[in-house]
Order: sequence, then structure tokens, then C-alpha cells
Amino acid sequence: MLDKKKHNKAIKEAVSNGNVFTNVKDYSKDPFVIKKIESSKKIVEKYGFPKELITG
Amino acid sequence: MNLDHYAYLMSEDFLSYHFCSEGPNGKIRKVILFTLVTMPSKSYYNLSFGDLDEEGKINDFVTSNNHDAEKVLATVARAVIVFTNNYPDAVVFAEGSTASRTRRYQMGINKFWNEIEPVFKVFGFVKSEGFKPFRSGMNYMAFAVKRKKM
Repeated sequence: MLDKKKHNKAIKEAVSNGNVFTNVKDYSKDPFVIKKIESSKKIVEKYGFPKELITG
Repeated sequence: MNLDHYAYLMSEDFLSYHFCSEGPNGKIRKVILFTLVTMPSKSYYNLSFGDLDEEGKINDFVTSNNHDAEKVLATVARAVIVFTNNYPDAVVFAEGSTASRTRRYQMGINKFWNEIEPVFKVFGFVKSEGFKPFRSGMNYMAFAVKRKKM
């Protein structure tokens, strides 16, 4: 339990140096992104995710 | 996981991350994206990672050779942490564009397994078998991760 708390704290501390930007380009139509999504869909459609990822 | 990583810019919704790799081949702009994919059985976020070319398109087949692979990988890991801090129930799917890049992801997971395992559920995809709990020494084609409930 203590270890988990320690790791959680470390992770929260680790995210403090990203700056937010607002003019985000939409990459959803980028061929690379489309290709990656299609590739992942083939795997997920055929094999699905393990129940450990779906339920909890 | 306090690894040396690049400073990055992220979008307000925590779905896009931009940073610059710096090395012998100069500055190379890189982007990490988490894209929601909705399936009938389960929605998930696909992780895309690549270089931005001069036209602003993503290219993940370029070999940067900037001698900073570990720092770049640490930045991707950081993005996964930030993203899942804000989307704690999300399943993230990651697949390298080539077998060697997928292997690099795997080496990174192996190297920092003691830090990753308490925080993330990690599954590796094996062709014809599906997703299996990540084990050191196995070769995987893709990965699916989710934050553990604390």
C-alpha cells in the first residue's frame, strides 16, 4: 500500500512541466493517424481486450 | 519514473503532445496523439507517435538518428502518464510502425517494469493468441495499458 502511494505521488509530481497550448491542429485526418487506427481496429475487432482492461 | 525527458507542449484536452528532439541531426519536431476509437465492445485510445515533416504531416518511418532514443521514449512515457492521470479509465493501445520500434517500446517497458507494474495494467499482443499479461522476454506486436485503481 505504501509503495502504491509512493508511486502515485511520484507520477503526479512528474507531470508538472508540460505547458498547455490552445491552437491545436486537427490530426484526425492525417493518413498516418488513420493508418494506425485501422491497424489497431483489426486487432481489437478480432481478438478483443482482456477482461482486466474492460472491467476494472 | 523521474527520467530525463523533453519539455513538451500539450493540448488542453491532454490528447496532443508536441516536443523537439535535439541532437546531431538538429531539431526534429515530434508529436504524440491519443485518438479515441469507439468500438461496439470497448472504446479505447490509440497512441500515435511520429515526426512532423515540413508540411506538418506525421511521418513515423523516418529514422531520426539523433542519439536520444531513450529521452524520446521517456517523453512518450511521460505523455502516457499525463494522459492517464486525466483519463484514468482509458485503455491505451500502442503499436510501433515497425517491428524494431515496437521492440523499443518493449525494451522501455522491460527496463522500467518495477516502476510501471504498480501503476499500470500492461498487456502485450501476440499474433494468433491475443493480449496476454506483459512478461519480460516475450516478443509482442502491440501493447494495451490501463491505470490501476489506487
